[in-house]
Amino acid sequence: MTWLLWKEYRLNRLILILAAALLIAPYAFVSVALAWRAYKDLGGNWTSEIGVAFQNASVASLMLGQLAIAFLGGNAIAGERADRSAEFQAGLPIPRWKILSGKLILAMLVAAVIWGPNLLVFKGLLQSIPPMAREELSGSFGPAAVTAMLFFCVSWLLSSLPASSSMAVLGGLLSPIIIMMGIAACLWWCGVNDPDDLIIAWYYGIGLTLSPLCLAAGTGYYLYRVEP
Amino acid sequence: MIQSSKQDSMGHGPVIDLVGVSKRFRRTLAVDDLTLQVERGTTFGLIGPNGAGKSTTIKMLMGMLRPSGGSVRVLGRDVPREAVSVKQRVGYVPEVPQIYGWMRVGEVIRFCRSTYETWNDTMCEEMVELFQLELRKKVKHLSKGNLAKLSLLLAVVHDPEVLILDEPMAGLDPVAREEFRDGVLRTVCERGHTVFFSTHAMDDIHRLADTVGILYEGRLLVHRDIEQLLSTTKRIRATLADGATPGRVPVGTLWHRVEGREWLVTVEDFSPEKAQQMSAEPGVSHVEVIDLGLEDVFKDFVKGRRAAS
Repeated sequence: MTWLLWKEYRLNRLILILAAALLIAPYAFVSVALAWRAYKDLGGNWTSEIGVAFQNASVASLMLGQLAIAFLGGNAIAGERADRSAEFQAGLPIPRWKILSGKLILAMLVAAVIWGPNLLVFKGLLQSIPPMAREELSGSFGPAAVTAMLFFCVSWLLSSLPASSSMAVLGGLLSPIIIMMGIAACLWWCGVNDPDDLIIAWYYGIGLTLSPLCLAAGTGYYLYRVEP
Repeated sequence: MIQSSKQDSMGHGPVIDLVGVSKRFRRTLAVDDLTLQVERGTTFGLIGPNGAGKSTTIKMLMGMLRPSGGSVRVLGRDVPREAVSVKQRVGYVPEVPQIYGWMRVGEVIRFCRSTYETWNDTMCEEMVELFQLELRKKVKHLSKGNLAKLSLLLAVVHDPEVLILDEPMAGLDPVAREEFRDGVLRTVCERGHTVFFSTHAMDDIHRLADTVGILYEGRLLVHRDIEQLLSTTKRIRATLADGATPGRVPVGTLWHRVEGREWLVTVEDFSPEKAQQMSAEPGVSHVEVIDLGLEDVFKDFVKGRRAAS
């Protein structure tokens, strides 16, 4: 299993570098901006805004990190099929479930690295921001989690089909947008006024139902399929 | 009802056992009702023109393609159901090894080592030395010959009972080809493996195989011991008198043609009576029996089948 994980790490190294860059970039940007402000001495009590700035950075980092999760899902199976290295792997006595486990473990580790530190920063700085902003920022984590699940699970399903990894990633990235647009169109057609809360509720419902279904379908198809 | 001759618990019976196997890709029937058995410790060479279904057959043997019909058993196990346990006991060299190009040779070896239960480190070191493979070199930087050697190394160092080779020497230069062939021979002679390989090169068949099969359009035209095939497949050359036309061909004619006054007939299961039958035909003045090489036998089997269809 160690060698399978190592292989997954090497196969997805570029995506992991992207994930690290997306994770760090908002913090780096905020740090540079605050340092610039301090250097220029623009006035105002800027030190009191450090907490808000870094909390915003944690939310931005989290949102951007989801892209890496979509890339991981889309590249999971289709990537090796595209460069035909899946054929080499298929000649080895490795059970399919082990191959999939390696891919899922890597994705979960990356998700943990993206979510863990950002949630810690957010929690740690919770008291340093006004209650209104606190509520607003906290409210973005739920939809972000559903979006991350959709990104990964839809691109995982598409990756298990004989599709290219770029199509799988694109499908994963578009899935939340398509779902949102579908919900909005339905509510508009039903004549619902002020649909914002309903859109979020439906998004949760559809996202939390569709994601496990896509994950199970992709996994099942890959396990059933004899071809690499 | 498909009858399969399974291996018993002592490992008797065919090591490779295909019964009524077919494989369809949408409208194309790549393998058609293929029945074939390969006995333990023998080397079987499969020849056939491009698109005959050789690679498809081998991929089904390796559990990389699901047969559309029939039964595929290797070492007594049903391949589609028990592919992983079959692969533990089988070595496989594909036509184009798709080994991860970004891995170094040493990394590939360690990666594969982690997947086999019976990996032999001593043998691996010996083969690395024999093939002069550089462990630090990336796979994508290996020459075609060295890539084929690495692929052979990975296929044999877990001491498999069966070695399956899919045109492994295609595109190799003569030196690399010779080294590869020696590697296979070494494995076969020292360890007594059963070998199943496909090739276009008749020379490889002659050097390696005990039995040969000719596959054409997914159908096995013949499966026989090489020496027996060569001794029983003959070409009868009959000289025709001026203005005479060819008469009836003998039973078992694979292919025949007329070139000027020469009437050439290739027959399987040759017997002197067949030559006598031809010489008794009106207009035939002289008959001569010619021995054929494997390449001619192969060509005449294929041309005969092509003409028949």
